[in-house]
Order: sequence, then C-alpha cells, then structure tokens
Amino acid sequence: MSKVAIQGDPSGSGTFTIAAPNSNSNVNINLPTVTGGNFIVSNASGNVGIGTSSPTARLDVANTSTNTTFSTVGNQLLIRNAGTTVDAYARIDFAGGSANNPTASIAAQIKNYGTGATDIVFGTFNTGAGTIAERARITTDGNFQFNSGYGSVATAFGCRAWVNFNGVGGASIRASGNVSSVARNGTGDYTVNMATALPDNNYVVAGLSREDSTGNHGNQYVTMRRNVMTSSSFRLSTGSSSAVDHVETMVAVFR
Amino acid sequence: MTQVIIYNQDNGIPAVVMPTQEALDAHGIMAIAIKDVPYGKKFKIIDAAELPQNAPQEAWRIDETLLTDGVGGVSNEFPPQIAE
Repeated sequence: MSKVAIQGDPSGSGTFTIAAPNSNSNVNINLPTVTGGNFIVSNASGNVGIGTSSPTARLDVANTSTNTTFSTVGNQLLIRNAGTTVDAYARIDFAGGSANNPTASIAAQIKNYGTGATDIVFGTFNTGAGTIAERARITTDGNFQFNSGYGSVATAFGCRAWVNFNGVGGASIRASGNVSSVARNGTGDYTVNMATALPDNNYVVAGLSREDSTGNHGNQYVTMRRNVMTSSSFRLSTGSSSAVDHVETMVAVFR
Repeated sequence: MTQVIIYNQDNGIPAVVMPTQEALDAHGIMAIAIKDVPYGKKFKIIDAAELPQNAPQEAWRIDETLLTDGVGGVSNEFPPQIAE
C-alpha cells in the first residue's frame, strides 16, 4: 500500500496548512502517478516545476516529447478558455515592473467552437490610449495580418520570390529569394524558375531593368509572356525597341 | 568555376540555365537541372566559360548527342528533403 507522510521540522516553528474550501465542493491536488513524474514546489527557489525536479523558472513545465509533427496535439502546456462565447480569448499576458495591468498579450481568439476555427492575436501597449491594442493577427486560415501604419489590421500580401540578375554575357545572378534558376533563352529573353511553386499562375510580377552602366535608360521595358506563365516559372523580355540584354534586371513576385 | 545547364529549346536555340546560389546550396545543380529543364529535354552541365563568346545565342547550335547529363523531369518542384 502506498504511504502518505506529513512531517514537521522539529527545529522550526512555522505552520504548514492545508485548508478545505469554504464550500461543499472538493479541492484536489493530484500528484503524478507515472514513473519519473514530478510536481515540485521548491522552497529554496520559489519555483514550481511540473515534469522536472529542478525548476529553473517560476513555472517550469518540462517534457521529453519527440514529436516533430506540428499537427499532432502536444502535451506540454494548454491554455484553455472553457467557455463557449464566440470571439472570446484564451490569453497569456505580460507585464513589467509593478504595474497591475498587462502591457502585452498573446491570445487565441476562438472564432467557431464547432469547427475549431481560431485566430492568434498579438497585442502591445498603446501608450496614448493606456490599454493593450491588437497589432497583428494570424487568422485560422493562415493569413498574416498586421497594422503597421495601415490604420487597421489587414492582411499582408508577401513577396513570394525575387531575383536581381545581369542579363549580359550569358547572365549572372546577383541575389535571389525562392528562385532556383534563371534561364537565358536568347537575347533579352529569360525564364525565371521559382524554387517553391505558387498555387496557380495568377500572381503578379513587378520588374525594373537598366540597360547599361552609362545611363542608357530611355524607352526600356520589362515585359511578361503571359501565355507561358506557370505556377513555378514565368518568362520575361528586356529591351528598348527590340529585345536587349540589360545589365540589371530586378523582378519580384506577389500573390 | 561557374556551372550552367544547357538544353535545346523547341526552336533549336540552346537555352542557358543559371542556378541561383540559394538553390545550389539547398539542392545541388543536378536537382535544379531536373526541375528547371523542360520535361523530356536532354541537358548538359558545363562550365560557363565554355559558352561561345563571339556569337549571339541565337546562332548557337548544340548536337543533341552531347547532352548526356540527364533529362528534364516531370515535376517543377524539388523533391522533399529527407532528414539524415
């Protein structure tokens, strides 16, 4: 049979109290029953440890998960709003100094209890209003929204690929992002291949080019060949009155 | 030494594929060639210095039998990375 021991220190005079609530409900403290489990309140450090016998912070929740699949439900820490009010938050607040009110927050906003749709909201302190204001949001369908001078929190549409290359002399690539290669099909005629494809070919390409280093920049163009755009590549031409290699061509893809 | 990939386009003019450094670091030139060379086109990986310097690309011609390093693949995406 398991044993329960409560032992006082003969050299001390303090009182350790476990008090029942002033109600008819029960209060439980359930210690781990698994081998190696820990629930520690450290008198020396003032730290609380769950899953560790040596907590290194005020609350140290430790596990030894080997799960590398994000879609798999974790088992380390769960912040739950047990209510069912749509748009209510399950929230973590941050504060500095002795202020009673938090000055920053991260929260999950439950959009639909039936489907599980949930946004993640980030807030910081609005010193003018004296309250926390929503600054950024990742919606349940993966859109990243933020307010950075827009006046409201709105979806940010990112640059999905970019490249800066020299088309003269066989062409060379100065720098790129999400581009695997640039093919020179002929004079002033290039195909940009993206490393990771987009969902379709209805994206936008913005481009600028410069013909040479002597300031020759009149009537120049970067044009697209829409009929050969795919989800992973697009073809462009540089030139003036005809296709010409330019020393600097810069293109960016948005969607 | 800068390596490039060459293949013959449908119009007979060779195309020169220049890999980006980011793709070389992540996948290597052979994987880039298989992904970015059109499906079914034979390709060759050569030193960029071997490209003709005194003729426009439109005048180049490459014997198909010299394109022996591989063939453009079906997919236009890199294969998934496998953790070692």
